[in-house]
Amino acid sequence: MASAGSGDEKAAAAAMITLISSDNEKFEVTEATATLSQTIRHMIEDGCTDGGVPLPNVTSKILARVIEYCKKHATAAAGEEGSSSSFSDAAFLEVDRAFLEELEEFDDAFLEVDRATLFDLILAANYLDIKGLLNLTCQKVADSVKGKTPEQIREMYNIVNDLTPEEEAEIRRETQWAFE
Amino acid sequence: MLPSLGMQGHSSKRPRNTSSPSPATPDGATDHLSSLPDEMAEEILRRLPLDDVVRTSCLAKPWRFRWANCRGLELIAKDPPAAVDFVLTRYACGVSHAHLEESLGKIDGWIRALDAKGIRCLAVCFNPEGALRLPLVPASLFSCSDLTSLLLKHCDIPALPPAFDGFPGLLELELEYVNFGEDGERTFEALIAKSPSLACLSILFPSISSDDDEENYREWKIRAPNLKILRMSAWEDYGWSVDDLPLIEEACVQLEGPELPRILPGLANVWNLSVEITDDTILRRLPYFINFYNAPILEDLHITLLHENEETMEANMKQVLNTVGTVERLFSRLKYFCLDQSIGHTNEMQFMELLMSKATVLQQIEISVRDDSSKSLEVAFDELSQYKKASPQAEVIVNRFVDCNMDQIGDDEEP
Repeated sequence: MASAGSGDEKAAAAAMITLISSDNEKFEVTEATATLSQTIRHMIEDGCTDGGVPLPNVTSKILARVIEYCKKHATAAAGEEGSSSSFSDAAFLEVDRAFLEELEEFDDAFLEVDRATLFDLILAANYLDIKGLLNLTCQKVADSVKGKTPEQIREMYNIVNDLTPEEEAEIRRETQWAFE
Repeated sequence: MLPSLGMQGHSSKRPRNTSSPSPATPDGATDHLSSLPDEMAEEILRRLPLDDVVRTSCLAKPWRFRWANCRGLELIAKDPPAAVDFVLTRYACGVSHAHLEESLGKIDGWIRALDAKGIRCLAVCFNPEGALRLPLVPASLFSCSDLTSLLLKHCDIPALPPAFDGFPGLLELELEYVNFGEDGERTFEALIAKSPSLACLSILFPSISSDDDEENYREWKIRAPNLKILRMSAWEDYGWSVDDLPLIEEACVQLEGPELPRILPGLANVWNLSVEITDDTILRRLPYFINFYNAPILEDLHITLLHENEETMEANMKQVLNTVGTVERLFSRLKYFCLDQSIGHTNEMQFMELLMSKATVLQQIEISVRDDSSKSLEVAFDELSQYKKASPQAEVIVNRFVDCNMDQIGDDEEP
């Protein structure tokens, strides 16, 4: 199992895939990086990536960020596969821990973006079906909402309150426990 | 595979966010949150505590019922009872995961409502403090026939209702500090036997209300033809034994009663065994294990010693060794061996000497030495290194025992 996996990894590292953004910019990435996206993985499996993969839903600006994320995490995934066979090896665990910390730092820095970019990243992660990125970006939004009052959330996200005062009072009455 | 394909097809039909009309405030700022497609708004809602989720209902009109239609919300233990009541009446989707804590006799109603919502993974924890008797599990629990995972904690399990058809799809059963009442052996046995899909069984410090004061428990069997993982910890022998478990892979057994000889033979197919041995020397227990060590599969063996009876520790067990040593294929598949809490006594060292001389494919032998050991780490390492190794590549690791795992067992363990 382990040796077959690393063999695939090597073959994947050699193969390059061209991704084409909505504004027609081309990005050359390794197959290992590209296949973090399940959407692209299925395209590769179906053999329809010759001449590049058009991604009409993703701008070059966002695609560049997505690729940055995938490159980093593809290395992480390769590392995990390599070490899984030698569990209980203290040296490996140490390396893993250091790498995980580095990955966390990368993720934190990666999320330092303006709000429009963050939401574009969510849409791209969903479209490309990149679980880790979708999790990361959605968690960031969830954390920004957690513990906030409706007024604070409306202000933060420019939400227009179109409820009538009566409606709002009714909702608050029914959900009083959530405001305590 | 399928869900991701579905998601892909679904998403690609959607217009790009940047070209879709987004609600905007009068001053033109974009409302990114409200303009997210449902699928992604739900991803965010699912990551919030229930009170935050429900509070979104008064953000604006489009949000009023959004939470109620968000699939995959879970009830977790720290949600207030009012939240659980509200969600169970207003939430429009099924609830597959719920972790409930006992609250003012509400559990029965909640379980009925969850059953109607197709509950699959359920945890019910009662609060034993101040109660003379453990609270009784409501009979409604036994109607939840869709359960795949069930955890019960600090409660009393009544006799099974006559109409109970079993939990046909139950894969995981965890019982922590539960008591089985009158005729408890039979109830315990039936609960497991009527969950024929069970793959993971975890029994932590149960009790059975015995009919007589002598605590003579009737003999009964754990029958679980599909069991892969077994965890058993108990203070006494409740009369149990283990039927042959053909699919068993891992077992973690911490038993203080004399039932090991009844439990271990059923586990002959494990490849990973963790066992805590108390109140005796490691070698005196050895004859019980012979079937086991001789088992074709065992690759990973972890023994934790509990030192209670100091006197037996220095016993020289050469005689036992000589008998056991003639068993063919002893430890023949063992790759990893770990001995926790060694104090370097003769019998422990002899056991390891035997193991190293027999285990031909051993890759690693690790011991953790207690502070009160008769041997320093260096001396223990030197001794182990001198033993004849049937497997030349076996690595010897000697560590100091760090008492960090006690927290997991809980404070009850300490006198």
